[in-house]
Amino acid sequence: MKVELDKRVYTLTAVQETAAQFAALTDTAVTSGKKAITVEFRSFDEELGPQVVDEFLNYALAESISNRG
Amino acid sequence: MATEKEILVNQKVYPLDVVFGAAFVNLDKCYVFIDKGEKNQWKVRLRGKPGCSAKEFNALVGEFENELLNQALRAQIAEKTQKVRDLIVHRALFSALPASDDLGLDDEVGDYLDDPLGIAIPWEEKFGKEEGSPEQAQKKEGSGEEDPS
Repeated sequence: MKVELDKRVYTLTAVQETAAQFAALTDTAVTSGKKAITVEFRSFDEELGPQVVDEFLNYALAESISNRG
Repeated sequence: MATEKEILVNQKVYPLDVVFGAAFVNLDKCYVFIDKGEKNQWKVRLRGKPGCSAKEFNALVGEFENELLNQALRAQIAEKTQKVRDLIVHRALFSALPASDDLGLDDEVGDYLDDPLGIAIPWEEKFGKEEGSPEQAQKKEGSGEEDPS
């Protein structure tokens, strides 16, 4: 599963930080493009399922907002 | 019922900072995903957390929209009152500075030739030569003085 995040909204640092925090729950690959950051979710924790993606996106958004001050 | 809704937000009315503010307030209540929409629009997707009923979710969506307005108004007021707030802060900081008399700058004004601690005076001039030192004895011999004892 791949999710594209607009760079005007999400910062790369925040997404990478989030990926590190969620490393125990999901295996992700973060790549940065010109206008968007792509996050590929390779595997989820079985108990949580796709809900991890939503939690991941919430966390990344919170981090991005915090980073912008 | 699906607890998911997409809201299209006009960028001119609600700049990104405003959308951020509304999203941040609601992050603990629902899942928020922001993406670019069509012309000058932000696409905000709200999704209910597990256990959130349709009724609760509808209320959340309403709260989010109200929060957008609230944040927009806050941003507008902040922009209008920025100069006044800056002036108040400047004045507060300025009044906290000590008066120019208390800075002690006048005390430091002095002549560089002043030597109140006597640092510039040579040792010999200040304390003289010791009696019985080899140098003193040589001087005495040269001048032909004899020891009276």
